[in-house]
Amino acid sequence: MRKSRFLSLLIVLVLAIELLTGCGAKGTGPSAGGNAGQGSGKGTAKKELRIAMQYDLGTLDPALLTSVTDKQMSSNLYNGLVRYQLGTVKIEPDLAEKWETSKDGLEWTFYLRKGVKFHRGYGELKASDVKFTFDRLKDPELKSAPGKLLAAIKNIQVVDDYTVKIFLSKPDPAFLDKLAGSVGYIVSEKAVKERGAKYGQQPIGTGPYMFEQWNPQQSTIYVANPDYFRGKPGLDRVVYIPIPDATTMYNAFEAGNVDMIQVTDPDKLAKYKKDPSIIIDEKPGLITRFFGMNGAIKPFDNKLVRQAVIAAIDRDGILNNVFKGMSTPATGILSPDVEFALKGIFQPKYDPKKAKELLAQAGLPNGFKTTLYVPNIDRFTKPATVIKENLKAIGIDLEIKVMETQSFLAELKKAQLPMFMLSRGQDATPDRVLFTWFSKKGIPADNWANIDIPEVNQWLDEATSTLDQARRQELFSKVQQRIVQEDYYYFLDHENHIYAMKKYVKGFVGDPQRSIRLDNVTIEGEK
Amino acid sequence: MFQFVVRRLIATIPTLLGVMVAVFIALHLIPGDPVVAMLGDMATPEQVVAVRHELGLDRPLPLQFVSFVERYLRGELGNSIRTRRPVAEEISDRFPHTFLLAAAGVFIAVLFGVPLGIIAATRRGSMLDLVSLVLSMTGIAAPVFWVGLLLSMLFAIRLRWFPAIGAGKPGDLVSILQALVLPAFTLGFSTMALIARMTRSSMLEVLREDYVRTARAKGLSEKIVLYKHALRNAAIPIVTIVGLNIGYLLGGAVLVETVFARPGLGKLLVDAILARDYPVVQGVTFFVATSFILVNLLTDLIYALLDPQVRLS
Repeated sequence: MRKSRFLSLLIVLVLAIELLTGCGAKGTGPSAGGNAGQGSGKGTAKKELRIAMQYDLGTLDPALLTSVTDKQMSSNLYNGLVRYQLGTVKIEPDLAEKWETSKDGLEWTFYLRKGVKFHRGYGELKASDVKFTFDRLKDPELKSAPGKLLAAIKNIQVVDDYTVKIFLSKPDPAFLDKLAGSVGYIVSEKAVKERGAKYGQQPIGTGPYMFEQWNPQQSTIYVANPDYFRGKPGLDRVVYIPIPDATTMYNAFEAGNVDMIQVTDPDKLAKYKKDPSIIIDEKPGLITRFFGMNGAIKPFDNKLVRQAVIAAIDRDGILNNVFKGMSTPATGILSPDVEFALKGIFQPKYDPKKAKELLAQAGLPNGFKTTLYVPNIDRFTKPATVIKENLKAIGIDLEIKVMETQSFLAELKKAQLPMFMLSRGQDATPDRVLFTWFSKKGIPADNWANIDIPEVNQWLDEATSTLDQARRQELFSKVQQRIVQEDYYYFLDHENHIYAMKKYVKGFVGDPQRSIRLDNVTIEGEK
Repeated sequence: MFQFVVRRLIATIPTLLGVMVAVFIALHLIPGDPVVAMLGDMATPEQVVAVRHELGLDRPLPLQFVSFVERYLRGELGNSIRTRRPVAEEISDRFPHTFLLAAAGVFIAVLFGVPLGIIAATRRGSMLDLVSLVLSMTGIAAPVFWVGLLLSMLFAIRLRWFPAIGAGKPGDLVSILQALVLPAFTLGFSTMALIARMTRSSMLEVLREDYVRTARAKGLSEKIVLYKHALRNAAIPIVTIVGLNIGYLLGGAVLVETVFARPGLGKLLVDAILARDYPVVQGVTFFVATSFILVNLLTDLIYALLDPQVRLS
């Protein structure tokens, strides 16, 4: 009996392996059965870069993709009309060589680069592809979520093969920035129509790398585009490997199973910095970590209380002990790279004695009880414990409530939490962030502190609709100064995007939006 | 026997319906919204409302439930909200990996667990028994992810014998087996411990029975007494443990899949829950529940094969 059970288990195992080596090998892509690049770490003759990603490929259709990972992978596959200069948030030409705007900001003319070819013989890029790309975002069948960002596009006119006009229904000062994002990537009309629903996993772009194969939850493989209009790229193959668990990711990097990872653990960073076989790339991100107080909930309706909380926080303690220098202290609301960002306006002094006095002035000499809500991620739960200790010192009894991220966001977007902590990504232009966070119109979805200051509302309305840059600068500056004075938020820091790579990986430049562009990356020397 | 199987299969219908209701309610009770997860920071509230409407998520819950059951009756599991791919495809891509891992885990558990239990039972109180006890207790007590990390640190990072991540190169048998070793040991370790303990106590009980004494008195060799007379009778509780654990291994594979970044159903499910991808969560849960029920049925059938006294009625 035992023998036969043993035998049947063996058979099951063999069958399962058969299943995997046979049908399991089918990935999506033109050539199935390729090398997933996950061997024991021995180098191949080819220049292959293996990058650990947080998630698996969802979709590489620019009209549908929303996750950070999908955005990062698509950045090497596509081009937009414009793009950011590598490592910055300055706009430069990409598929469009130049462009013009009408005085009222409603009419944009783009002149396309000639001779740009889509991958795998899908022909030359034409103005009709641009029109198709943006018309498609409005297709009700497609249900494009990111397409809503470009809802201001009224219609598109093909002037000739290399000239296209885009008409907007209202002026949008951040229009070029939106075009530089993933929603602005130009797709091949022919490929999208041919591939239909499968397009997201079999994409065709114009970028330096071409999509080769996707093995679900194992790898997404790109190969070099020999016809890339800026010249053949520096790598033969790029293998994106999804490793959501951080510890596993560090293990894979140390075991030599991947060449490049994003580092979020201060202790690992310290260790890698000492290792001569590892290169580190650090860049402050377009992101601000903060905690906020809800002005619609007592006692935070009292400015003295909010000032007391801010004076009670030992920011150096948090940044040095918890994050160990992995972030840049925030001296304003916006990341310094954002247009019109004011630096040096938020410099709170850690002064528990003054904090206690302020509380007493507010009529709360014995403190009070309140709750701080945080998502269940280290980078919020850890500083939250320090904040709890800091507030305890001035008599505030803080309860920390840790929630799963999506549940936290759902609650937060009702704007009914007394205190909350999060970090939020920003764009190169301040419009969306300042308007939705601090204008009355942002309540409840984004203005979680219930800030409603008539002047600020008015400044924001004007700043986000005028095209007069000097006026925009003046108004956005006033908004930032006023919001900091009102003390609803403690702007903690801007998280750095940090990448660690083996020293044979050359030429990587990180950027504030962590798009992992591989523009000049190559492999030199032995793996 | 045929009747028994048919009756058992019919009885699974209310169970599955119960699972569907429970999953549906649980999913919609937890706060969170696939649209917010999809659109992120960039979307305005109006855009969120528009996308919710397009996906049919703004309809009343009972209506959504009815259309969900209707779809399943037609054999359609729907499409993933995140990838737009059919849920059935998402599952069939991952299932072979989870199945292979669970099968390899059970294989290792039985391969080491049963002999360990027999040795411990026949040499009760000896040093070997003690070693088996310590091994089993460690296996039961040690958390799966911890065992996985230790194995990974030793065999992947230090010795570099096996990869720390992945499921090997598709189509390459050697690399698939290489990538399977650490996860399978990690997954099989605790089940092995359970099986060893169960085999030991079950064997000890059986060895005290009259028929074992009779067998020995007849002059049968100790080997035949042990394997033919004792083990077969001691096997029923062992099979129960193995059967129950296959279900656990299918589900428990999620931790191992996470620690070794392996593709599989468990990880698909966790990712889907985090993204509030309702169709995928429902599809995977339904699939796992069905598998669990089938494995249980199979276990019952094996009882009858092992012990003629068990009647399938």
